[in-house]
Amino acid sequence: MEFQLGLIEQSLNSRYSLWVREALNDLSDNFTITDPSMSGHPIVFVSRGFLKMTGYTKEEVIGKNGRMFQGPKTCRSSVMQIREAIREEKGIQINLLNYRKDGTPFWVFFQLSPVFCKEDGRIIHFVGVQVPIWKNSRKSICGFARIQGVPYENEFRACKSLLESCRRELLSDSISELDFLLNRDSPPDSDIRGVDIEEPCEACDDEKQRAAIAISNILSVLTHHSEVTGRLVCERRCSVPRVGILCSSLNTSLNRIKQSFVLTDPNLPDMPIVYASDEFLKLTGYTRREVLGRNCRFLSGIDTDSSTLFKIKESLQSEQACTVRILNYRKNKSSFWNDLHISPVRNASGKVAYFVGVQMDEDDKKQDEHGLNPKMKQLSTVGAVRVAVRSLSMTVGCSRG
Amino acid sequence: MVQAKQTEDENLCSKYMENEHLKTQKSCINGIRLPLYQFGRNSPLDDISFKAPSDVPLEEQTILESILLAKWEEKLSEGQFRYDVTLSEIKAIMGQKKFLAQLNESWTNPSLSQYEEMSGSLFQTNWLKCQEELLFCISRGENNESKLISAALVPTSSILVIINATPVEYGHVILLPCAVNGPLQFSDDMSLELEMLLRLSVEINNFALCLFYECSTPGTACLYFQALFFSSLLPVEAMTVDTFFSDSLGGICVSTITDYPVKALLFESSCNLKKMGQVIAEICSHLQEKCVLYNLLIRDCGKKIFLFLQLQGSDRSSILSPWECWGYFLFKSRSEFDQATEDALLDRIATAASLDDAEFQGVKQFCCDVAGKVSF
Repeated sequence: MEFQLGLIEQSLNSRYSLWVREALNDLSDNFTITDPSMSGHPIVFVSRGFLKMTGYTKEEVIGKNGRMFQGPKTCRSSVMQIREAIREEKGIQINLLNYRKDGTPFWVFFQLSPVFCKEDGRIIHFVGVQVPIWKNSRKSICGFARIQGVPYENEFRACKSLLESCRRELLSDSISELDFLLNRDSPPDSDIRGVDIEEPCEACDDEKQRAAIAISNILSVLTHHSEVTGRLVCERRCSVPRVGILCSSLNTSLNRIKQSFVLTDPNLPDMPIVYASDEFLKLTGYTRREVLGRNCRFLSGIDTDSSTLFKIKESLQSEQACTVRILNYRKNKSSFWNDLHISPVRNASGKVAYFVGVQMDEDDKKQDEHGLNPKMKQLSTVGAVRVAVRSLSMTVGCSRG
Repeated sequence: MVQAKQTEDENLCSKYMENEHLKTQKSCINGIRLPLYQFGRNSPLDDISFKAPSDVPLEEQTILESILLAKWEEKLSEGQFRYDVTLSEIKAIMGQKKFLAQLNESWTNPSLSQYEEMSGSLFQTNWLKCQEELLFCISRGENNESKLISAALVPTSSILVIINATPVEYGHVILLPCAVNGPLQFSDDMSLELEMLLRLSVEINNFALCLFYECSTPGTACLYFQALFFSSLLPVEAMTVDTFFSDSLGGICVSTITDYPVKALLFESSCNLKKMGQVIAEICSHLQEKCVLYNLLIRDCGKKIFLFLQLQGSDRSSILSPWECWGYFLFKSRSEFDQATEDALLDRIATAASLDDAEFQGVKQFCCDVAGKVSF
């Protein structure tokens, strides 16, 4: 635990000047900063406003994953959308039902924003801002949402003015007073506790705007404090992305290769699969959704030779290619012998961006008369992946063809 | 690879012809068995509305692409190259032209005659070394469809595919048209070789392929073509063009690359590659006669051919390499690479002797004449 806390300290300190915590604490918004490169994607900073809103202490929150605030009635698809955004290193805005420490649910407008390393485009942190959706506005907005099908100008105006009067009540004063308000014994949603709380809820423009302003304030603090260390961060990826999603042109190039293969990303925690070919899915019986983001070890089973696994591990660590014969398992638990070839694939910077693993089962070995032998097929896959990754990793979105 | 020898005699072509000893020498290719890719009888170039080998272009890897990449990858794992080119960093240079820069500290600038010498050695003494560098060969076949034979004797008049031990990019190979007894003399009629080459790019069917040809010795045809793989757009491909010849019947279009520091033309055809090959061949032999240096770049599976024009300057080292003409520059030191600017690269291009506007206009006029003549 001490070791983990050390890493969390390091997460901010290695990137920003020592005064960054102080500066972030001066912001009154409710937000957390998380580090996706650390195991478990933990919260590495939490604002005082956020602690007040949720009722937790700092010690209870730091090092935990943001999902600790979700509860039984939190919408699953919203959670999946957030997870997807994190995996794709994108921002997201969503209405979310969270839970306080005392178990009471409350609606927030959640805005998540990635922070990138200016130099190499790597994702550094996520900033997550939560703006509570106030009950009156919530009701109005729910009503508004129903009439939204055809947004008549008058109704829209009426709605808006109603909202504005509601807002004035709440926002005429400073945000610290709002925090005080929120933190009084009667939280905004307490009067409707248990009633309709899981009903979908929309944030209004004011709440969205407040979230956007908060994000921009936090990002400017982070950018400023990263200038001091010389390890600049930025909110838009302005350099080669090292990890995460494959750009669409890379995907297109990879889709041409009709072999069973996967790409895994050694720069992400636990080296997950970031690309799986259709032939791989056919061979193993899994769906793409089931394999992306997972480490390849799920292919191993009870009779898989551990010395083979060790050999693979060694070649991954030394960034060397290797060919092994390994017993793998399909989704339906049936096993097959896999002549697996693994090779590091370098990006435009010459760094190992992925490992390509090309599978070859007994069926693939039946060589058609005029085709390539299995060994050549594997090597041509590796070659085609190298060609695609090398120049397409140079800039984002430089597609052709 | 054979070490570069500084030779004053660049006219190796004619040397071969004169060398009786070479002519009578039993070639080392005799008796060698290599994988052989045979083109089918039905050329995709003959068909006005030709189709790529796979019905939907780019849908999947073709056998020709697979064998090339697999063989190259195999040589890479065997350590046949001086360096692993995937280790060298590439980046785009800030500026309007989006020039590309590669840092490659191990790269040696091959002297212009190095490949000639290497291709010569194929038929001479240093055979064993060369054999390791041979990947496979390509020839015309009698079957309807193109096919791969896993091992066969090298047929007369085929293209040998040989690795370049100092690759500029992944998959960099030398394509050497050869007869059994020596390099093929194709300076007389380049159109046959160009047709083979265009066919090669159609059957590889990969947009990443760069097929290129360099004529850097005035008045002499070079003995080989080259190929490499690069999946992004090259800087020259991103430039705007000004079309000055367009023939709707023949389907050939010729344009100037505008606002580009190297004098360059672009030939495009979507349906008649064979004719486009003939046009280019005639233009090339004309340029050779006029002692204009040029190089060709075939892109987009044969549908685009870039022609870059240069003049013989006072200093041979000032001649731009084919990749420099594309806007792709190699740097041997980290500091040069880090400090590279668009202005410095424009200066580098400016040191090369270029055609003046009148000469360029003359070449354009000649292109129009040839293209007009061939299409009708």
